[in-house]
Amino acid sequence: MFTFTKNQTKFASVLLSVALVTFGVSAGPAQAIDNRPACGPDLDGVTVCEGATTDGAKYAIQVPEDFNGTVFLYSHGYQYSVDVPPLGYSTATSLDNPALSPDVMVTETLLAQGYAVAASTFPVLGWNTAEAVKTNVELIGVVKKAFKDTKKVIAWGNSLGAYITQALAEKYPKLIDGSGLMCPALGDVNAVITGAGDFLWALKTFFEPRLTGHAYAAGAAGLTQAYTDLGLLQALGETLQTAVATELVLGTPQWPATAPARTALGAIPVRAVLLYLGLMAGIPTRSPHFDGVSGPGVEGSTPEFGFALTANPVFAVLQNGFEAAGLAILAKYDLEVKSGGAFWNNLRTDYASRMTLEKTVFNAALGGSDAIAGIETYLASFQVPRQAASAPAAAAFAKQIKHTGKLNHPTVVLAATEDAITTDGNTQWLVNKQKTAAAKAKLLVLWNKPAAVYTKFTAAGRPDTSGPKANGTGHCNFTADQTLAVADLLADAVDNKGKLDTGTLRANVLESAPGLSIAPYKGRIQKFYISR
Amino acid sequence: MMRLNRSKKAITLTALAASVALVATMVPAQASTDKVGVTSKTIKLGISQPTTGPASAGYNKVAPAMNSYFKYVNDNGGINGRKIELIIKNDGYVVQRAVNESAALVDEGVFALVGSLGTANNTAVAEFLDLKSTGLPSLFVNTGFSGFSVKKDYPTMFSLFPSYYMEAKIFSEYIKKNFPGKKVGVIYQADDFGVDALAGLAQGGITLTEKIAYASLSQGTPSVGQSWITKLKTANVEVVIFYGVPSAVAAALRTAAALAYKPQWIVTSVGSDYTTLTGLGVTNAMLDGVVTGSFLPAPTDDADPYVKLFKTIHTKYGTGAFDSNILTGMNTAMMTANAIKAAGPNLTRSGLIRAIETKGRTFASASLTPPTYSTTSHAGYAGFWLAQINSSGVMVPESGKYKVYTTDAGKGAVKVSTYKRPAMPAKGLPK
Repeated sequence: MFTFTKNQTKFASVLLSVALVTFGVSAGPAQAIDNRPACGPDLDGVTVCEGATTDGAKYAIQVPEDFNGTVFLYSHGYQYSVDVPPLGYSTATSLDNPALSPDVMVTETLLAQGYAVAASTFPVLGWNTAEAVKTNVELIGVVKKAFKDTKKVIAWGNSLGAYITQALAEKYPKLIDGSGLMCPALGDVNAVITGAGDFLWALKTFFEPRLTGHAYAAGAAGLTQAYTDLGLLQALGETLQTAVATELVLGTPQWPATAPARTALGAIPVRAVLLYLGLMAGIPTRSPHFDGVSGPGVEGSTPEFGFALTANPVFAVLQNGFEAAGLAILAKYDLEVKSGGAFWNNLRTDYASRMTLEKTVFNAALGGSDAIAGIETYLASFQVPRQAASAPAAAAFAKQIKHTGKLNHPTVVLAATEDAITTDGNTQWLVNKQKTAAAKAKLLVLWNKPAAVYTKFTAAGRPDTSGPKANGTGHCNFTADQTLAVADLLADAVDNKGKLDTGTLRANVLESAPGLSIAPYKGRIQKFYISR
Repeated sequence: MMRLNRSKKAITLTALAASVALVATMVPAQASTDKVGVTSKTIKLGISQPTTGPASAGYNKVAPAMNSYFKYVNDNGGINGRKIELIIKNDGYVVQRAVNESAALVDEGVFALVGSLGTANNTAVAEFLDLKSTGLPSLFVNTGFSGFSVKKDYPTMFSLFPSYYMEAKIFSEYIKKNFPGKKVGVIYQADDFGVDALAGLAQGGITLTEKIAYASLSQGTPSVGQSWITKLKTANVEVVIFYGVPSAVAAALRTAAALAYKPQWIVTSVGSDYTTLTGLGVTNAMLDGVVTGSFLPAPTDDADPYVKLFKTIHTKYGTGAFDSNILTGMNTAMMTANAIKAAGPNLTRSGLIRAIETKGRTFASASLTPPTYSTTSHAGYAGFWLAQINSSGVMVPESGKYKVYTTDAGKGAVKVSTYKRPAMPAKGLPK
C-alpha cells in the first residue's frame, strides 16, 4: 500500500514550526526606569550593550569599533503569546532574549561590515504592533543617544516584524531612513489571518467538529481549548494524509468516519475536497516538499502522471494548510484575548466566488465539474455553520494598526511566492499601493521562487520529505545571503539619497544570493482582498 | 562565507567610476522588454505543449512540425536576415506544468510564445505570467476557446482556430438538417473548452438529452469511459457530440464498440485526427461515419498546394506519418512567419502585435476560411467544412468538395462562405 516515509508524518513539528508565539505575560505597567544601555567591554571589537525600554522590553545593541554610522533595527516575527510545552516554547525565554537579526550569521556579517545592530523583545508577545512600534521609537532614541555617531537607521523585520516595521515607517517617517520587509505581513491583521482562519474553519466544518477554532472560553478554559485544538489538528493531519494516500491506491473515497461532510460528500474523494478547501482559503499548492506538479517514475507514465495530477498539489495543501491552521489556532486565541472575544467572522464570506481560475487549473485534482458543484452546494447549505463575531470584540479588533501602504523611504521586500503564513498576496498588496513612478521607485521586491520541480521520491516511489525545505517555500525560509541582500541594497540606498540601486550593486547582490528574482511577478492577492 | 564585498562606499564609487554604458549593458532595464529574444541574427520563440502523458497523442507532433517549417524558412534565408529558434517545453497537458514551463521560456528569454496548446493551460499562463502587463505575445494558440479572441482580456494573445463556439453552431445546423428529431447528447471536457462548445450548441438551438462533463485527463481511467457510454445508452441518445482531446475520444469510441453502442458521432476538429485515434486503438470500423470539421484541407489532399508543400517539408525535416496535427503545426508556423515578416526588420513585441492586428487578415495560410484579425478583435479563422470519415480513414467532404460554413461569435446565422483562398506565395515563404 502507498505510504509515506516516516519523516513525512511529522506534522506536529511542521505545523507549529512557524514563527513562535506567547501570550499574556506582559512586563506589567510602565515604570520610571532608566532606559540607558549597560555596555560591557568590547568583545572582538564589538561593543555589546543591554537594557530595557521604559515599557519593560529587553533590548540589545551591538556596535562595531569601525561603526559606519548606520544601524539596523530588527523586529522579530510573531511569537506565541502562551507557553507551548510540546514545542519547548516558553514566553519567559522569548521575553528575555532579543534577536538582533533573523540569523546569527547575518548579525555577524553586518557587524563585520561596520554596521550596528539593535533589537528588543517588545514588552508583550503575540500580535503586538502598537506596543512594538512604541518600543522601537524609544529604542531608536536610546541608540542615538548612546552612540552619537549614528547617522542612519534602517528598520527591518520578519513576518509580524515586517508589519511592525511598515507601521513604524508610516507613522514615524523621520525616525528611519530605509525599511526591510522580510516574509512580510502587510495591510491589516484581518487580511493576514483570513487565509489561515478560513482553512481552520473548513477543517472543523468538513472533517473535525471537535476543533474549537473560534470563540475560545475566557481564562484557563480557553487556553485548554487551544491546546486541545493543537492535538486535534495534529491527529487530523495524520488522518487526512493517510486517507489521501489510501485513495491513491484504492481509488475510492476514504472519509474519516466522524467527518461532518461525509454524508453529503462521501462520493467525492477526500483529496478533492481538501484541495478545494485549501484553494478557497488561498493556501499555496506548492509546499516545502511538494512542487504540485511531479510524480514518481518515468515522466508521462501512469504513476507519474496520476500522482502529479491528483495528489501532489493536495499534499502541498496538507503541508502548507496545517502549518497555517496551527498558527491560526494560537493567533486567533491570542487576538481574541486581546480583543475581548470572538473578533473573526465568515458569515457573509462567499467562498465559492473565490474559486475562479482555480477550478480550471486544478479541475482534474478537484474531481471535475460535478464534484466541484457538489462541494459548493454543500458549502452553501445550512448544514455548514458559519462563525460569528461578538460586536464589542470586533470593534476592539478593528482598532489594530493598519497600513496605508505609503512608502516614505527606500523599501526592500524579501518574499517567498509559496509562503503559506504570509502569502505573496501581502507583498502584492504593497506593490499595488504604489501608483506613481516615484512611489514605485521606492520599492524593490526580491521574490524568492521555488524551482519548477523539486519533490523527491524514494526508490519505491514514495514522496520523501526528509530533505530541507525548497527555496521559495515555507515561512521566512531564507538563507543568510538572501537576507543580507536586503541589507546590502538598503545600506547603499540610505547613503545615496534614498535611491535604490538599479545597476551593478543590484546585479552583484542577486548573484551572491541565489534563488532571488526581481523579474515581474504577480503575487496572488489574498482571498480576503478579493472578497471584500 | 562567500559574500560580495559589501563596502557600500567602495561599490558606489566603483559604480560611479564605471562607464554608464557598461552598466547599462550588464543590467537589462525592466522596462525595455519589447525586444527580448531578438538579435540581429536570431528570433527566439517558445511553445509549451504535451509531449508525454495521456493527452499527448497527436498533439506531440504539433511543435516538431512547427520546427520543421521554421527550419525550412531558416534554410531559405530566415526572415529579415534572422533565423527562428523554437524552444519546445513539455507540459503533459497539466495546467500548473504549463505555467511553470512557460515561465521557464520567459526566463530563457523568448520573444514570444507561439502555438501553446490547451484552453485551461493558456488561461492559466495568461493569468500567472501576467501577459497583459508584461506585453509578452502569445501567438496563434492551439485551442478554439472563443475567450482568447477578446482583446481587452487577452491583449497579447491571438487565436488561430475558429472557436469551439462557432464549430458547435455549425454542428448544430448539421444536426438539425440531417438528424431531425433524434436524441442528442454531448460529452465535454469540463472546462472552458467544453463550456464554449455548450454555449455554441445552445445558440444553435440543440436540445441535449444528456450532458456528460469529464475532468480533463480523467479519461485515462477505464471506468470513466464506461460510465459515459452507459449513461448515453440508458438515455437512448442517438447523436453524440464530443468535445475533448483525442485520448478521450478514443476512450469513448473503444468503449462504445465494446458495448455495441452505435450512435452518430460528431467530434470536434481537435479530437478527430485519424492517425492519432488509430494510434490509440481505435479501428477504422469504429471511425467509419464519424462526422467532424476542419478549417484546413484534408491532410490526404495532395492536390492542395499547401498540403503538398508541407508534406515536402515534413519529408525533409520531420519524422512519422503526415497527419492533421502536422498540418496544423506547419500552418501555425507559417502564420507566425507571416507575422514576423509583417512586423518589419525593427522587430519588437508591440510591433508584432500591431502587425497582426493591421495586416493579419492578409496573411497567406492553408486555411479555407480567412483570418479575421483587426485592431479590435484577436479572433482567427471563422469557419469549418464538414466531413465524414470513411472506412479507410479519409475525411470525405460533406458534399464531395470543401463547402465551408462560416458564422460569428454571437447570434449570427451559419452561412456558406464565399471566401476564395489566395494563391500560395512563392515557395510558401512569407512575403
